[in-house]
Parts: sequence; C-alpha cells; structure tokens
Amino acid sequence: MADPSEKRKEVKKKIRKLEGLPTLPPIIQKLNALIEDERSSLTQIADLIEKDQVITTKVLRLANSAFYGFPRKVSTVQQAIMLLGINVLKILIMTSSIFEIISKEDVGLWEHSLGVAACSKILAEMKEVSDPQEIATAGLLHDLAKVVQMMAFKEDYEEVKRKVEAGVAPLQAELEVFGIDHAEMGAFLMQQWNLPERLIEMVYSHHDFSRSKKFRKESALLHLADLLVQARGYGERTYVGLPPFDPKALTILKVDPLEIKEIYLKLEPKLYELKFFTEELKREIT
Amino acid sequence: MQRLPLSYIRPGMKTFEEVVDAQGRVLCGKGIELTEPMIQKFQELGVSYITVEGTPVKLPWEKTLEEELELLEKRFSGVKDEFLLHVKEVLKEVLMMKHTSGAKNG
Amino acid sequence: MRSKKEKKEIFLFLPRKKPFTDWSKLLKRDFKLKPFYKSKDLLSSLLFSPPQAILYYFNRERTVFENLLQLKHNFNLVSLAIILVLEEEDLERLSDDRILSLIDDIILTSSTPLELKIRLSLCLHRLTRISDNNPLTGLPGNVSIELAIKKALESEVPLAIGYVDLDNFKTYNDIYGFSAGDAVIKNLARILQTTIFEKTANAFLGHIGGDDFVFIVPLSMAEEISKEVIQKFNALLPAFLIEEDLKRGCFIAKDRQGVLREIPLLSVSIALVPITKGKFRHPGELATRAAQVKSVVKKIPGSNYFMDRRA
Repeated sequence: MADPSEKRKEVKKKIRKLEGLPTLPPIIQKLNALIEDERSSLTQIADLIEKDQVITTKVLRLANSAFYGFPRKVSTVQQAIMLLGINVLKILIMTSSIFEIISKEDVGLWEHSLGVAACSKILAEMKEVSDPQEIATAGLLHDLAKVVQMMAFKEDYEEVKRKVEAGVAPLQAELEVFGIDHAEMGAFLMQQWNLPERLIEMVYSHHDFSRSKKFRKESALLHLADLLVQARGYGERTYVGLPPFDPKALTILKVDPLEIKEIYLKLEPKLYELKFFTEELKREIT
Repeated sequence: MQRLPLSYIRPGMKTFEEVVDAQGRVLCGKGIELTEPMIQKFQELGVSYITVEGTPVKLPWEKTLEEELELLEKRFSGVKDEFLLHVKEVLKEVLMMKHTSGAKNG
Repeated sequence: MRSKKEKKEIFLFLPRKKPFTDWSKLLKRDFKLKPFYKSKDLLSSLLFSPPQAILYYFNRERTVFENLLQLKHNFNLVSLAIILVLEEEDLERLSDDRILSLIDDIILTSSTPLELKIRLSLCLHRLTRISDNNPLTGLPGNVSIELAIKKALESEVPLAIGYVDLDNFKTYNDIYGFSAGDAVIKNLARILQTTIFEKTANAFLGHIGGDDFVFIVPLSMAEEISKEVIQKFNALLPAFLIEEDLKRGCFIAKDRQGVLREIPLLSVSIALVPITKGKFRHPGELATRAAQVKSVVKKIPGSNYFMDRRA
C-alpha cells in the first residue's frame, strides 16, 4: 500500500496542475439556451449557474482573478456575473468541459450539494449569519473535491468506493487512499483558484471545525447543514448513513434541538422544488 | 393538491392557490381551470410554480411513506447518539405530516 | 523572487507544420512559448492567465478569432498583442476595419524567423509605450475622449454624454487605502463597460482619471443605462465595505477641520447631457453645462443620475 504522505504530495501536485473541472452535459445545454434567449435576465442566469458547483467555481475564479482585485473578493454568482458581463460569460461556458460518462449515482453528488446549499441558506437566515447567499455558495461547493476525485483520480475514487462498501468509514477510506480528505482537497483547490477566504475556510472545516480559525460559526453551520441533508436522504450516495457529527456545532450556532423541526419544515419545499431539476438532469444523462 | 413547475402544467388542471408572478403579483385566482393561452401567458410573465388541485402528475421519484420511513431507518441504523435520534424523530414527524395531509409540497 | 529577466509569454495558435515549427525553434530562446491546438484550451487560458502576445493563424477557426477579439475589447486588454499570421493571398480579405482596430500587427507566412522575432519585439515595445489609455482600467484617456466628444457634437443621431464619478471617494481612499480605492475604480469601469456595450455597439467609454469617467451613448438609452449602472454598483458595493461601515450606513472620518463626522458611504453620480447636432458649438460650452448638471446630481444623496432638460 502506498505511503499516504507520499500520495498526499502527489495528489496536491496533480491538483495544482488542474486546469478545470467537467460538469454535466445537460447543465451546459440549459445554460447555453438560457443565455441565447434575449428575454432572460442576469438573475435567471445566476439562478441556473448556482445549481452547478463546477460552473459556479469557474465563474467565481474568473471574477476573482488578477484583473479585478476586489478587496473582499467576489463570493456569489450574482456579483460575479454582474462584473463579467454576458459576453465573457458566453465564452467562459464555451470553454467548459463535460463529463463524457457519468453514472446516475454520481449525479447524486450534485443533488446533495444543492440540498446543502439550500439548507445552509435557511440556517444562515435563521441564525442571522451575515451574507446568507455566500453561505449558500459554500454549501454548494463543500464537496467539490469529490468531482476532482471522480475526474482526475478515477481509479483511486473507485478504490475509496470499494473500501466504503467493505465497511470502512468514508473519511477514513479517503485518508487511506488519497492521504488527504475531500474537505482539505476542496479547500486547496479553491485556494489555488483565488476564491474568497470565507468560502475556503468553510469548506476546509466542514467535517472538523476545529480546523477553522476565523469562521467557526459558519463552519459549524455547514457541518450541521451537511448532516441534516444526509439525514433527510436527499441525494443518493454509495454510502447509506450519516456523516460524523460534532454536537459542538449546535452550541456554536446556538441551535436548540427543538428548532430542528422548523428547519426541516422550511427545507422540505425547497428540496421538493430542487428535485424537479435534478431528476430532469438524471433523465438526460444516459 | 400538487405543486408543479410550469413545464408540468397542462390545460384542464385547476388552480388550488392563486398564481403569482416573479414580482408577487396575483395573476389568477384559485379554483380556476387553466387553458393553453393562460399557460403561455404565465410563461412569458416568469411564473415558476403553480399549485393545482388533486395530484394529476405521477412523479416517478416520489416515494410512499412506507418507503421513506424504511430508508430513514436504514440511514439511522446503529445510531445511538441522543441528538441524532431526536433528528430521526423530527424527520418521521415531518414525513408523516407531508404524506397524511395530502399535501404534496412539504 | 523574480528571475533576472522574465521572458514574455506568447501563445501560439498555429498549424503544426512548417514554417511555424521553425519559428517556434527560434522564438523559444527569447520567449516563453505556449502552443495551443484546441480552441477551448486557448480561450480558457486566455481568460484565466492572458499572455503578452498571441500569434494567431488567420485561417483557423474564425469564430474563435472573433471571441479573441471580443475578449480583448471586453477586458480592454490593451497590453495583449494580437499578431495575425497570414498567407499572402489573405491580405485582400483583411480590409475589415474592426479587425484592424483590434489587432496589433500582421506577419506573412513567407517571413523569415528572424523577421518574425524582430516584429514581435517591436510590437511588445510599442504596446508598453501606449500612453493614452488609463493604466488602471485600460480605457481610452483624455486624447481619445476629446476626439470622441468632438465627433459626438457633430452627430446626426441624438446622443447623450454621461459624466460619472463617485461621491465620498476621497474619504473611502483615506479609510481603506489606495489599493482598495483602485479596486473600486476598476470595478466601476467594468460595470460601465458591460452595461453600455451589452446594449449597443454605438457607444464610447473613457476614463478621464481617478474616479471620473465619460460615456457617450444614444440618447434613447441613456437613462436605462444609468439606472442599470447604479443598480449594479449598489449591489456590488457591500463587497467593498467592511461590516461596521455597512451596518452603520456611513463612514466615520475626520472632515477638513479635523472633526470626526459621519460621512455617507460611497455612491455613484451620473450627469447626463443630451447632445443634438449644433446644440453646443464648442466643447467648452459642453463642459460648462456638464459642470452645472454634475453639481446638481452630486447634491442628491446616494447613487443617482440626472438628465439635463434645458435646450
């Protein structure tokens, strides 16, 4: 078995060279159609982009590149496309690559991320955390590294799946195979691409918020959102079960267990609506 | 009642709630039978969802209460933590609310 | 830590054959070459890390070439040298003024590698000499602005000239520092650019300096454009401010007398002056009118535009 620390270095090296991530073909199609339609507004376009973690990352990456030097950095899709404009967006979409073959099960990852984005926003609004839209973006991107694994480390990704099926805990399996977990991988990539600090730290700490320095509350929020969405069973995954949960999240966020019902009641309608989108995606993927 | 995106709406369906556009303006009352021209108009005005009477569309991904509860048990199998068990109970409650009231929109 | 002489980066979008292969061999010594064969890769790299120059073979993928020109125009990449590589027989097809206004030089496939190297170096030197464009935003500067205004005063079509500046910008700079102030300017430029040119190609946008911009657009679109610029600026403003200032709704800073006061947050003011042929005989008259309108709009708190209605 390969030495994990060696593997870790190798993984980071490969990530550093990564140019872009592929997304689901139906998303590119829909986006192109929407942009070509003269009647569509920037808001509608932003709404659609916000349903895809890969294009969101791409758009944020460009809006945060050396051209712009925003002091606090662009952290939502709406802001990003206001800056970039439609013409640049068109070209950006054009340069996007797509997954040649992706399984319906892997689409579950997209679904899960959408669920966590929705739940994160609800929690942020309930707990009056600043900039709920930015928090939603973090929710969307929290498992971005899994897309990296699917695309750039196919064999290793399959090995992790095998281990999980054999009963190893998912995070443990990742560490054994990659030497680095998906939270750190995702944060590393986002750092590369100059995404805002708050987003990066939230992703980095979403399973272990002792990792967070400045954004503890936000990291705890994401941690809870991830649990709640997995508990609800939204977004089919290989692993049927719950992620490890640190109850400190409840204290940091000041969430009373009695509030959980309210959260779910707010979340259900959103998940219901999102389902139409993701089911359509699954149908269009052969 | 069933809440559906505009693309699923067909003429003949009856509104269960008022239809509102993206700005929140009421375009149509409840209990109204929808026609093709009305649906077209809604599309132009940026309407996203309409709640209709009954459950005219069989959504292939919707599960029965039994199925949902079974999957819930599976997800929580082996869980002993107090808070997590509380979450499970809340979910049971929410799922039952969703299915028994005939409400198909959570 | 920089290496003693950083080589300029050149993208190549050329066919994989002679004479281009010979060119690469020579250029490799003095430049950092990056060859591209797939248009997606080229555009992607261009978006995220543009080079100093690009050698583009004219007969390859015209739509991609269009996108390239569009990006140069859109981002005001004045310092990106686009050099078109042509066969002699293609010269006739190069009468399009628009292409000529966006590329920097042409080179025939019959040129020798040495000729190419010299032309490339000349191009790069020339670009660093361009002084009229504002170094921060890349937008046309005062010389071009004067010319554009003179032309507008003679226009048969009714136009409007918009004067844009920021309120309380000095305070912002004092509190947040010049880098932050620069970022605000760059982003205001970006907002103006996208809003104006997404609505019409018949427009001009210039950067006088500091936080002062000028635009010229068809009169019928002036208000719509101003509204949208203001809306976008206000939507993006929170990203430029720290939370305390946002919550408070104002800056706390010393005024000229050294007294701590509440100063309103950054906002954008747009003064619009309609132009019809013969209305102003001299740019000076326009300048006077513009100054009057500006003082009116700057008095209105928050971000606003104001259109001069006088004859």
